[in-house]
Amino acid sequence: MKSESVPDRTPQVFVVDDDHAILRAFSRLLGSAGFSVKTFDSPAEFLVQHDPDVPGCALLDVGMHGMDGLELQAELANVGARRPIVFVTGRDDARTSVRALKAGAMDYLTKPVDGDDLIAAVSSALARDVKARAQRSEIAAIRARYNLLTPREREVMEHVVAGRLNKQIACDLGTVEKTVKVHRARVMAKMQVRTVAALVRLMERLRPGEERL
Amino acid sequence: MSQEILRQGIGGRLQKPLKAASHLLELRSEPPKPVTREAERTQPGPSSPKARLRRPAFWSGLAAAVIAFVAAISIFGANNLFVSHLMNTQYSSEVELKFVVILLLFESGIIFAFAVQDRRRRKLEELLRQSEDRLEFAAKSADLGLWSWDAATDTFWATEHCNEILGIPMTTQYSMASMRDTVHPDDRALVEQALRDGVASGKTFEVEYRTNIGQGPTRWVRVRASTVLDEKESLVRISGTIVDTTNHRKIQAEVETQKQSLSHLSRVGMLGELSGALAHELNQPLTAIMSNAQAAQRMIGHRRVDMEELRMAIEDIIANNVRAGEVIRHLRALLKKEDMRQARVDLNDVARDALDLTHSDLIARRVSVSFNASQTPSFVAGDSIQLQQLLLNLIMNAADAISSTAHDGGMLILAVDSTEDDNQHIAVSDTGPGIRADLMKNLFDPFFTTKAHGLGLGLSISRSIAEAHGGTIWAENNAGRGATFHIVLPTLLEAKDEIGERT
Repeated sequence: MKSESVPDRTPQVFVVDDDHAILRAFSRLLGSAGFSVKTFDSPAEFLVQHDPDVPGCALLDVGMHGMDGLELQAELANVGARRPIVFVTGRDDARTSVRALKAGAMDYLTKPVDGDDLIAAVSSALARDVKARAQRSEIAAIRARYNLLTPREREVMEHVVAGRLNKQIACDLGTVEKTVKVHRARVMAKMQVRTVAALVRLMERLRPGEERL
Repeated sequence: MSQEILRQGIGGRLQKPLKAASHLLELRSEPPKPVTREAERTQPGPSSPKARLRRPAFWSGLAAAVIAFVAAISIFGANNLFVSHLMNTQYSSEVELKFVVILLLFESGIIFAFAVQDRRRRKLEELLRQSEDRLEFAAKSADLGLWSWDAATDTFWATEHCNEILGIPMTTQYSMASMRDTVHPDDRALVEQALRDGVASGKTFEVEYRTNIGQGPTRWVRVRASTVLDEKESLVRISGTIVDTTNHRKIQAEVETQKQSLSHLSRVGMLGELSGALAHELNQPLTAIMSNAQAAQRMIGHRRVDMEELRMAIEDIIANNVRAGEVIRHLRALLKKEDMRQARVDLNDVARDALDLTHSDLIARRVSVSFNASQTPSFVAGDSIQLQQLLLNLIMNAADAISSTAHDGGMLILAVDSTEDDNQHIAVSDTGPGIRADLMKNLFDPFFTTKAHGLGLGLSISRSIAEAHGGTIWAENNAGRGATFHIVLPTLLEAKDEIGERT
């Protein structure tokens, strides 16, 4: 389904549940909906095999022996894996669901869960992961370009983005307009933009984008 | 029935049995004189001529009367002689006068002696009668009937109370055969066996049976008897006591019913506590069924249907349905109110079932479980539901103990094994705070609880279940952390596979 958007790697659904009947049933259902599924019967096993670079989402049971779903979520956050998580629980416990959602869970479903709801939740989690990964790689690219700039060029760029004219910038930085023009041309070339508006958009994405996802 | 008639009825049989009764109870060292009580008691009223002949007072009276008669004649004769002498011959004889006076003195001496002896005898008889009265009164007060069977004559003697208990008239003479008919047909074999064993062993024996007399209600009686043999080891008599145990049995049955109700109520209460866990146990298979069914639905919609995958999905649906059904069956069994059933039960199965039911509750409380089943089946005779209730109680108590102190959970160890003397043993250990020494002795008392919302019935019911299975239950603190509850139940031998139900 979504495999075209990330050509190199197929997104996976990682299902973790200590009940084998549930594991098989979810795997079969998601498989029939066209997802690629990997199952784990313990959180520990999942953590050991986890590769954050593989795109996809996690479908976690809340109540498991040893480590529960929420602890697994915290553990994933600890190792810096920003994988979208859908929780499935056998107990309708409001406090736990609030905790899970606050910690960034995509969804919190109660058993017995309707297949369509499960597929919808997994689909949107996968979509979120794909989008987040795309965003992250885009931001990484912008940052890479930004890193090419010299300190002086970055200084000039700040002023350009703030909407000041070359003459004003030269005055502010105590230099001549011609030098500013040269710096500005280099900034535009290194950041691969033609207009100031495009440069402003890039810089905006860089700033808040660091915090999100 | 008036006492008078009853006494007359047994009058002829009274001598020997009285002896037997006193012998049996060993209340007196010397055997009583062969005296009939009824003759004494019926003195003012009419008594049979035969009985009168046997009275010593009668004989002494008669002797006195004869002597008096002889004396009278002699005095009369002497007077006539004396008068005729005075009138006719003026002759008086001092010798004759002396003779008459001596005779009179002798007579009155004899009469006095008789009177004194009779008085003494009466006094002794009165004492004996009082003593016997007291004996019978004591027996009756203790609700005890006394009886004796004479082998030579094949006749029964029984106290009034004994006959009352058996509901048989005092006037009827019972033999061993007719007494047998008063036993409920279903219990006759049992009574006969007890009698045979008792006679063979020569020891005191006891048997409890139902009576079967006319249209009257069936009553339960308990008979305790001992046999008396002569020098040639042949049976002389069997004598003993009889107690009416009908009311006792009724009360016992009522207590049993109350116990069952209480145990059932506590089971229902326990299920309330476990409802979350049980919902989860049902939810799991239902979720699996739903997902498998919807997967199958989607597969059928595909252009190419993977028949193998479809078949597996349906197989899983069936398996999960069975699993859900099992939970329901469990639940229903625990909710059901029924009498204790006896069957062959493997304690390992009971333990597994109890752990299955509490599985998700224990996970939620972060209690990890270790179950050490015995190598070979641990068979006991009992009611699997009650035994499961017993284990559920201990498991939930252990979980409560663990979560009362540690928020990071703890460990519950359940072990089934056999003791050195070949009984079956279950131990439930926890890593909780243990049991305070001062609470240890009251642990199994009803309404004793340390929990804020506990009724204090769990352990008391657990103990009554263990005891109803002929077992014991106790608790001890572990060397390290927590406490262990032990249950020991008698092993069911393979030979005794079939257990008869006796209510």
